[in-house]
Amino acid sequence: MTLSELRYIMGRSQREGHKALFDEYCNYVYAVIINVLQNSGTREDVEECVSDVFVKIYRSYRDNELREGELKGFIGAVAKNTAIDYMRKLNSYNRRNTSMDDEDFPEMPSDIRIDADAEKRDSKRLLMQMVNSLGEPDSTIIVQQYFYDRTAKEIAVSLGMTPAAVQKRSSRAREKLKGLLIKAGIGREAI
Amino acid sequence: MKDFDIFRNTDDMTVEMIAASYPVLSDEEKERTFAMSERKFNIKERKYPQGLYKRNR
Repeated sequence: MTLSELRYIMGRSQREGHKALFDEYCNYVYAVIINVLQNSGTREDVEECVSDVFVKIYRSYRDNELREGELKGFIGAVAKNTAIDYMRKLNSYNRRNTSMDDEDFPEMPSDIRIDADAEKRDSKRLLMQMVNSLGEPDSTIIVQQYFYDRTAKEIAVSLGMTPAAVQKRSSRAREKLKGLLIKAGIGREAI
Repeated sequence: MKDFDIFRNTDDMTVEMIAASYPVLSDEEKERTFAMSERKFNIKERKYPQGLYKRNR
């Protein structure tokens, strides 16, 4: 969706414009937020954060802060920054309620580390190629389970399978993926 | 911590690819989250009308 297209829809109805923008970018925003809030927030926290991101974007549109050709980049940046703020708040709350020695205590992410480590990025791309090579429905099962943190029951509903079948396929796909990673010389520490 | 933590700290480009190739939100989740965003937007619009909200996004 271009900014001109968005302006056209907004001209007809603000709500329609918001809905069009939301439908176009909600999965992208959700993925960006999940990537930051992994191990920190609940599903409700993620949904709250997604809704906050869209409020910021609607208001940025209203104030003419969006630029043609930069819409997706702008939305991605707002999503990432909002998620980092959320994570800091959640970790601050967790710190008051959890021992720092707890093994499950989430690590503070480092954008610099993530963005600077080109080798790790290449490993992630190779990993995604391997996940894609598993074929459907295994690749979707692995991504939904380990990136989006969905349960076997939720994945089963989305794929029209039984939870038992999802678990069985997931277990086999995981083993296959581990084998592919070892064959490619990618250890756990590299990804 | 997940036992198979392969997607931890995924880079921006890979996240974009995952979102495009493996969209996850159900219609119900989309409706719920969109409704939440509209509700929050309307509250903010009433509380901080245009020009008065810059520091209160």
